[in-house]
Amino acid sequence: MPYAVARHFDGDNSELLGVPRERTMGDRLHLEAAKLLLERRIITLTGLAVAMRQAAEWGSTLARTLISGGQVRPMDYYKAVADVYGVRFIDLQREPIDETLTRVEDRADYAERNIVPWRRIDGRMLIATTEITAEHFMWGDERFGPDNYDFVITSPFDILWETQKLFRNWDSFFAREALYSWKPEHSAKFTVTGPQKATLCVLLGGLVLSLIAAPFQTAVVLMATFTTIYSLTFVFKFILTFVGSSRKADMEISPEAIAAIDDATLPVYTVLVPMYKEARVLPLLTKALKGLDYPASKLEVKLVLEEDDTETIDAAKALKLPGTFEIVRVPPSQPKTKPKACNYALQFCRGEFVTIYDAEDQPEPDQLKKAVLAFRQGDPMLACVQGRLNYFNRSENWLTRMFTLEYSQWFDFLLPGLDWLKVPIPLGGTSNHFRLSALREVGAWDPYNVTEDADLGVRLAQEGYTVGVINSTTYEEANGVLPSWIKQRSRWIKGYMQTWLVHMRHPIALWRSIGTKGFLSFHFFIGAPPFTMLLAPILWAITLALWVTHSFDLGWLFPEPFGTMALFNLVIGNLFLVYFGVIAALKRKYYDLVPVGVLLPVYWVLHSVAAYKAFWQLLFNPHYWEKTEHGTSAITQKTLESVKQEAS
Amino acid sequence: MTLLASSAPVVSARKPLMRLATAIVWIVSLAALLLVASHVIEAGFVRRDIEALRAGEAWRNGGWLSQLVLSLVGLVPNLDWQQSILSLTAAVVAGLAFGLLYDRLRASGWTIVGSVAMLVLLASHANVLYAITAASRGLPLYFAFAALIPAIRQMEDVGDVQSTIGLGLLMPLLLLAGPLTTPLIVPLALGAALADPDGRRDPRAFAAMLLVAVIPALIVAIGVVGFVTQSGIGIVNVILPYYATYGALRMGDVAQSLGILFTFAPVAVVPLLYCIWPNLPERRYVWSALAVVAMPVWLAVGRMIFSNSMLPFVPAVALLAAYISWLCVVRLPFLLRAIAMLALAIAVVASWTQTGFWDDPLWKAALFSGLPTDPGYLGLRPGL
Repeated sequence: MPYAVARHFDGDNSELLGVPRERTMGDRLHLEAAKLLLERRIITLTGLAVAMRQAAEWGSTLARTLISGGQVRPMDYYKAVADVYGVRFIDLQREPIDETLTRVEDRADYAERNIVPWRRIDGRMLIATTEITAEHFMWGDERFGPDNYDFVITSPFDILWETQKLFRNWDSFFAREALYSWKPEHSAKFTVTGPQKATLCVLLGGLVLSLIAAPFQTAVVLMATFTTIYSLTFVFKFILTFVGSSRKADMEISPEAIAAIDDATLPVYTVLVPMYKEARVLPLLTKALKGLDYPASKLEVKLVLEEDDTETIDAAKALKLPGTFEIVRVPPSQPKTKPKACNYALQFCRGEFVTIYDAEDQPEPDQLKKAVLAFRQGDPMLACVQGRLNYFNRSENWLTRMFTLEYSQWFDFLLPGLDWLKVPIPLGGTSNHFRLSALREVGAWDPYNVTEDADLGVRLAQEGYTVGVINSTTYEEANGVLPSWIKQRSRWIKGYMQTWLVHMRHPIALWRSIGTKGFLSFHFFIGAPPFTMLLAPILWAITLALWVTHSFDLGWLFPEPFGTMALFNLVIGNLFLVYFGVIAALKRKYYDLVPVGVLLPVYWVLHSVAAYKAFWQLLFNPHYWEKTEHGTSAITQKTLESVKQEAS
Repeated sequence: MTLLASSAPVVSARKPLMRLATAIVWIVSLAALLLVASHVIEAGFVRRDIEALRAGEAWRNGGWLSQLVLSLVGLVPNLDWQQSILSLTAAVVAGLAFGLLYDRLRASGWTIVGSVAMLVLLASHANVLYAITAASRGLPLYFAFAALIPAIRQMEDVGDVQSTIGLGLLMPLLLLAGPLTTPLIVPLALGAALADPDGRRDPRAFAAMLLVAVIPALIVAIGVVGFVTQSGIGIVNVILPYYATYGALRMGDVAQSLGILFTFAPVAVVPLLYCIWPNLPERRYVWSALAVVAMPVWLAVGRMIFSNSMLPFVPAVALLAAYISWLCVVRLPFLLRAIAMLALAIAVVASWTQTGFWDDPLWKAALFSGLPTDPGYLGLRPGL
């Protein structure tokens, strides 16, 4: 039996030997396949009619519409396609690819064009693909020469799975080392570089010598420096909060603009969901993603799971998810971080835009459309739009309330403030929507940085890209368990320390690339917070010693004007920081959180605890990813129960 | 930020920090005010602020901001230098304010001629000129009133969180301006809480909005206590001005005080007319218009029933400050704008002619000392 379509192709000739060309292309191919599926009673006539209408409205192929709608299994669909072509359908899992025929140089083509050399039989190369077009012939001609190959049909998922297996080590290496190989100075693979180590040694040596030679004067200079940093950080936060609290600072995308979108013009959108041991919350996530207002045929959801996490992989399979969902298995390697998993999955993304959600995320349904509009109507250099994050379990306990206040201030005031000032925005871990080409151009995420999102925001700015904040919220589960909170927070603080150290390897280059305003905001927003968190307990101790014990006089430490500045920071600065936290609740209309806001200083104590843990880890375990446990909230449990009941 | 609608994108255009015309107005105002101030000093007039400083009044009346400035000036030993520093400070601040007013008046639809005329009239008002060149302790109060009007207006107009924060952050100015203005925080905070639709419906929202409006003033109050304690002045001295003001009621001539207010500042009629004027070119914002009149009225009444050392014309200048600030944010029809200018012109004439209500012949003598008709005043110099 001939396995392939015999052909004699030239550009203008519309005939393929054996198979007329018009039958192999576009809508007619899919209609023929659909006819076969009808005959085989795999789909119904009504289902087909609905799919055809949707395909027309969404501007998608009938194939993607039928598969994404769950009407037909990909394998059945592509068997029908093979029959239309009159070629053989290959199940690549049963009859795997001959790996000696593949080339790493063509890796991207295999993923993006769904085309891969399968086997050589009787001297002829057989190329597995999902569709046979002129483009496919050109690809074959370039590699194997005309008349030396034939095609077989398979499903895109088969190609994805098999090429993932074949290029497992290469893809894994690429995910880990691409950025380091390209721009080692932007990678956190090594926490500090040689020159940085030397500078630190000189500074520390100088400090020790100064403390020995002139201890009082040195202490005064140190305190003056700390006081100034505190004052400037306060002023910076004040400006950001005030500017960000304006309605004008929001990138407003109106419901009318969303309603006016023609679905046919929407691009393919990839959603990455990196997860590890989160089988419990999978049903919740899939429900949220199914609820997205975006044509299913243009949605590509990739559940990015670690290969050894069989529990989650099995749970995902058991959910019998529609064709929009794919499972990407990440081979085990160090560092075992979320950015590495995302980098791995990025190699299989086909969307024009890509976003990331966490396992327990519940994005507002129109978020993807808002992001598309923002990209279309924004600056051409707009590489990323950040959705706002907030919590659905804010009233669960004191910690979740504090966390909600903090996030509200962060995403509703501070980030829009940074956006307004046109300075680098440290991205949030999820709900950041990227233009895929820009993301690839900057080398994607740094797998060695534990706040890869914040780092990416700075790198995008350095490459001349901009970041915006859109008026769409993703609701997450606030971490309400103290040990888990400390773990999560210490990772974030460690990541900020890493990011600051990485970008301060070449401070002048950084200053040149992001400008003076951006340079200052980088220090005040990314460098200063971990520093002040570490410093705070020391200053509290001094204040206590000064005010409570009255046993010794430390007034000499704060000569004027630093004494006044220190008092300003202590009283007015700190109280205003509490105030900013409190007003953050107003924008969200979380009125119940306003009185609780006065307890924010207690929350800051926890930050300092986490900061010391982060500092310790930065020294001894910089790439360790402290996993945040999701699904602990009573609200999450309740929602999960209702989802399960609905499903049953 | 880009405002994304269904049609075309709107790209934000950054405004320059200061327009050329604004800068010119500022420089000209500064120069003119400095000339007048130096002329008054040259003529031998001793600023009333210096008298207060010498009399040890600093820190006693609770006008913390002006007292802070006075105390700093008091560190300079030489009287001439003290005078010069105070005059320079007042002129610079007033000149900047004039530049800003010009910019905002233009933005509110006033012509160049109209804007300049309004500023010239304002600067010609005897009480305003006196406040800048002779007795500047009221400046924080005037600025507080001038700043509050746009903030109230923004609450009415935009009503976003920034409006609430903006109003909240201005409340401490009332605290710092003196004991008599401090109580105004309460109605303004209540108004801010009620301005929000949620605040009117939901008691929790009301309480939250109230807190947010009041907290900055409380923070600054705590800060004042902290700084006063650190500087060794003592907490009693913080409370004393309030105790002295509100410790005992007295029944002064309220009608006369109101008379002075509306004689020196008949401009109050304009915001009242605005509240009922038909066919305004914009939505009517009543609360900010009423606040222009209500806050100075409180001062005029308060200075009669509570103990204080407020000069009789201070409520009138406060009204003028609020009034001109209000003109900067409101769009008036031509006729009402003409009335606004006429009312200010009448106020100017009254301020120089109605000496029965208030007068400082020494200051006037010094001011007009260069004029050939009145050379005798050159030798006048009040004792300290």
